Amino acid sequence: MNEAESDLKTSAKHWTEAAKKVRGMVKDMYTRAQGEGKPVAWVMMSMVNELFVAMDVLPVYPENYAGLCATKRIGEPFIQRAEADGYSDVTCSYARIGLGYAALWKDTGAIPDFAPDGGMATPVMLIGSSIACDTRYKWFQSFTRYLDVPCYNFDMPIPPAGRPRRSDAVMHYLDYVLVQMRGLIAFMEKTLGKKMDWDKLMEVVRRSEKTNALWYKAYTLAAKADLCPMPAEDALNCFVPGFFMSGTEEALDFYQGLYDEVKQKVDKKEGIIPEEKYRLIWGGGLPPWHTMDIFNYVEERGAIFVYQTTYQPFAPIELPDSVTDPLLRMILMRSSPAGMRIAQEQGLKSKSTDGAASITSPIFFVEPFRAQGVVMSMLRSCRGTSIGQLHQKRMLEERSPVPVLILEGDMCDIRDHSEAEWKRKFDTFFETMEARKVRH
Amino acid sequence: MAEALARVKELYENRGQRVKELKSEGRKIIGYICCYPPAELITAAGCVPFRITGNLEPVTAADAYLETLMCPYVRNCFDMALKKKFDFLDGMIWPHTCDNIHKTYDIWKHNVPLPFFTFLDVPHMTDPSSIEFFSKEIALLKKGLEEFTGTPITAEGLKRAIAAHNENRVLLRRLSALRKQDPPLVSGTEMTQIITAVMVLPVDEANALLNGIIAEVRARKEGPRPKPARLLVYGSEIDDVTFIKLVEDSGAHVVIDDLCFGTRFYWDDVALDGDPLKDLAERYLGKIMCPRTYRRWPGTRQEDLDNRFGYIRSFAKDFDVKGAILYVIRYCDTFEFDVPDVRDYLQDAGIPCLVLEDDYSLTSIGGLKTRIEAFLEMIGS
Repeated sequence: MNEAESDLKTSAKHWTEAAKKVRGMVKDMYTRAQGEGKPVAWVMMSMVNELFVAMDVLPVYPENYAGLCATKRIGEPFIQRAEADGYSDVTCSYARIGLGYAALWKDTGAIPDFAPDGGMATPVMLIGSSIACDTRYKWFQSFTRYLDVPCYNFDMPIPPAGRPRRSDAVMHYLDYVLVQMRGLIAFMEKTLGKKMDWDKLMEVVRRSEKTNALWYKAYTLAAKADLCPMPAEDALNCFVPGFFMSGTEEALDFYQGLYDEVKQKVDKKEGIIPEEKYRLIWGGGLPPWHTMDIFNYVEERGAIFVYQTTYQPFAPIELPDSVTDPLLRMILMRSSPAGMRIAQEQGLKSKSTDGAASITSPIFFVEPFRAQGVVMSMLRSCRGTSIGQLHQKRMLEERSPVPVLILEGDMCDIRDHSEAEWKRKFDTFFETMEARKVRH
Repeated sequence: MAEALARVKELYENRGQRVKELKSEGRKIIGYICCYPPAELITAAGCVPFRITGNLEPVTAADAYLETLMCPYVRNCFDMALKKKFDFLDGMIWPHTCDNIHKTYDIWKHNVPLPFFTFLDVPHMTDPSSIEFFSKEIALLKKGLEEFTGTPITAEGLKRAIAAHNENRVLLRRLSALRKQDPPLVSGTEMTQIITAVMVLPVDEANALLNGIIAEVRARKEGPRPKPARLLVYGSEIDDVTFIKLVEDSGAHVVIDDLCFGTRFYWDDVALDGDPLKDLAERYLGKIMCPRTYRRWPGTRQEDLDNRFGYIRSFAKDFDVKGAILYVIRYCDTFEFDVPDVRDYLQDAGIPCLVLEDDYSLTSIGGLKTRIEAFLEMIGS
């Protein structure tokens, strides 16, 4: 099997010009890493891309690469190779693809010929973290089984949503994350044999702040519009520059373009479907990268996902110039979850979101975005995004109330996915929504 | 049966028995899950620490609250909470140890509220900054307990509690050493029962019980009978004897373990020569060998493996084991990621391994038995 042969059309239709650009940007990212001769780091997404930009390191994100393999439906040989080494079929399928890739590479001494975009370039270092899930540092630790390069994991603790925010606790979290980030910089300096350029980092971080603000404005404007011009499947594509290229001119230009396009369409009242029969929120769990055209199936039934909570920007914060530490700016820039800002703007009382169990809870978005239903995907290989969905469902049904559909599958491991089952469940869900409309 | 071991059996089978009595006398009972909350603080606050355990019964009530694709142990414990099996608790300390436990905090707190329900963030790294962060978290926990009980925890009181819990660990290690001889004087099944019983008693009562057990075991004329194989069991939350008994009924002695209801609970002490909060942080974060903690090692891959798993090889050597069973509870990601490395590391040292991935309920016991018997045959027992 080669890449061209496997190029099945299972990706969703792109509705915005911006979303159409993302695939090319991703391809460039991998090609540049192979060809530019700059040091490459394999990195777990940890909200610190600005550090790599400032140090002129080309980051390669195996998490993104695994998603790409799944999109092209060529993840299975990698998954099987990782499982042959003993990695369980319930460990993160991103990780199994990444580990299988590294194992096959080690087995043969060459990048597998079916690897998309020429494969992931040889890294000089591995960087993982504890942000968001355990896999993020365990996976990178496991990479050292196959790759003889230094590995650095750093801590990025995030307390659960329901932990009371005591000011003393906030301060020690902040202090700790700053020291951990400095530890990462020291590691990179040692590995690369050069010092961080702090002025450049400040410039990169300032650019990232502007990028994040545009990203947030574009996503929320689309979701609030009378007719939504950018559905969730586009948002699930357009997050890529924000997560994997933050701090670059390319990412800034991308979100400027996205915002301009969304604004123009909103002003002209151009939605993707003329009559939005059901407005939905993709309320958690990773999407099935191998079968993204399921979103088009939904649209053919007059429904649209106006927002997704999986990959969101943070609500922008105007940081004063007096904050002169770029690392502190990086943390503060990402300290205001979008959902809480939107809930505040909507005047939702805090009680209505108590027990939300997650800062990405769909409960924040239903009313502001006039959603009539919420859909989540429960993933066999992802504890990070799956645990809490049943709780969210209970909370939503108690307080909103809107119907909630939970679909089971996996983001990359297609063996755990049933397209027919998803379609059948969507059909039943829409029947339920229709029945509710009749009743009301 | 001897008196102390009979008491163990009683407590093992009815884990809330003693704390219910103490509650009726006015004592406050504080629950905790996993190895990481320092029980010393609960003792120093004048409360009784109670380790949350499961019961292997089918999960029914929790099905509507917790997903099936997560740690079956946590689901089982939460199911018990919903069924009011922990209704004697006055409070709970909920640590960040893994995704499964972390993400259950809000859900448990919301659905089974308690007067005192606090989160304890446990870093994943062991850098000096991680120890400092954890010390501050422990200080917050101390403050929370003081506010809850209305009584300050004094430095002397905390040191006394640490000394008592250290004694508890010393006694468990002393008992464990009686497994070095062949046949061992105390079985793996008995050790699981004893450790579980110790975790649901005030520390002073637990220490008195352990002294009684050690005396009884040492006086045994007839302990476990000779068996062809001596094994190590590696894994996490085995708080029920079913699995260990299955191994021992299949023709082996479990003579040492690397389990949460095993050495991970008692192998290392808290230092008593510095700031007690920092000493607690150093012991709980720095010394508990669990895959959820990342141990930075700038050397070679082999050195990194030695740093992570060398202690398991030492266990195997010191207790003269012939093989290891790596028992992984499904969906326990940190263990799932480590198992291929642990297996290869032990096999490279000539210790054959059997990897079993199972759910906590042990409903597939027939299949497990067949694989264990085949393994024992393979290693020549």
